[in-house]
Amino acid sequence: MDKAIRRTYLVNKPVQYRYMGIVGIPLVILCGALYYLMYYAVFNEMLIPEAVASTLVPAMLKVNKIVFIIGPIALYFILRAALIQSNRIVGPMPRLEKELEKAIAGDYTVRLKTRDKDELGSLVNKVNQLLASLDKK
Amino acid sequence: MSILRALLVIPLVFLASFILTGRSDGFFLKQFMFDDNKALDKWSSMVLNGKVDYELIKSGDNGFIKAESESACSALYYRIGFKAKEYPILSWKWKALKFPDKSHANTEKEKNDYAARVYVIFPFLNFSTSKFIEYVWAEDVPEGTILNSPDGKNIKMIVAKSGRTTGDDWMPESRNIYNDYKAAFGKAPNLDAGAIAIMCDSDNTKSAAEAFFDEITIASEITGEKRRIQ
Repeated sequence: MDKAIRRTYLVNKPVQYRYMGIVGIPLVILCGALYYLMYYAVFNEMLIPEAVASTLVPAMLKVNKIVFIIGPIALYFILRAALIQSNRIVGPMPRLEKELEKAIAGDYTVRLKTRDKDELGSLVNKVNQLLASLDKK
Repeated sequence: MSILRALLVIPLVFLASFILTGRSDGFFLKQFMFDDNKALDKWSSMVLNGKVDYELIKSGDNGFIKAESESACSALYYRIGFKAKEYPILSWKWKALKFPDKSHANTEKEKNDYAARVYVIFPFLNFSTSKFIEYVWAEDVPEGTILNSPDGKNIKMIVAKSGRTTGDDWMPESRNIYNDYKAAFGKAPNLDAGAIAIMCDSDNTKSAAEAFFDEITIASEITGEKRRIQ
């Protein structure tokens, strides 16, 4: 099976943005909710404002600084991973459609190409076997 | 048929008695007389900076709380949810025998020691949106003064009692927390109260304080005479 070289990760913006949203948005909401609940739980145990102001708030400010620095970096890597993963599914589609159009037009010598980590490798192999059998006839 | 009727009537009788009983004592939401040896069992302690000695003192059948602070700051709080509009009256008896020495205190933070405080806490989802009213017994600030706490803009301190008292008498207080909230924060409370607390502290001034608390009551209106309920 011929190998294709990845040129761009963003080949189908609506689908891939949706995929990244499915990963990124719940993650941000979950982390935000946990962050909030953690402080709410501690605050609810302390209650006395002077205790909260002298212990919880300084700790919260320190954690906030760390979260505001590390959070965007972590989110960038998570969304990047989501983009790469979505590309493994969506990425080959335009090329496969283009190659299949040739086969529909009667050129059964055409063979579909995938990359090693693409999720559609097995399907592409079956299509290539079909094309090969059609080509023999 | 008679069994069915009984099954219907008995719960109704219980419901009616519950409603009538509730109405008769519905005047008070809660009353802490501290007469029982276990009166402080449901109060929780929050140590901020050294533990204040809160002791339940019995005098005959009556009891009260004695608070002694030696450069310490800790509070006792009781969780109780209520609407300040429905139960606006918070009353209590207190006396302060020893005040924190603020002669060397310069900053607002250093001056933030009071012999006696009574809190009403309006908790929300976090500290920044929760509101706090502290009724303080100040030695040198006029009664009725509303002070901003150095610990945050959502904490308002209302001077409920000022100066030293002569003798050893208990001083009764009765506050309308709904009106006080409006005066302190400029609008009616949109949060339910979630707890009340008492505190005696002298940690910022590294001095000593001593106060007593008794008969803390949350009621729907000012009581003509003190009633004791359990």
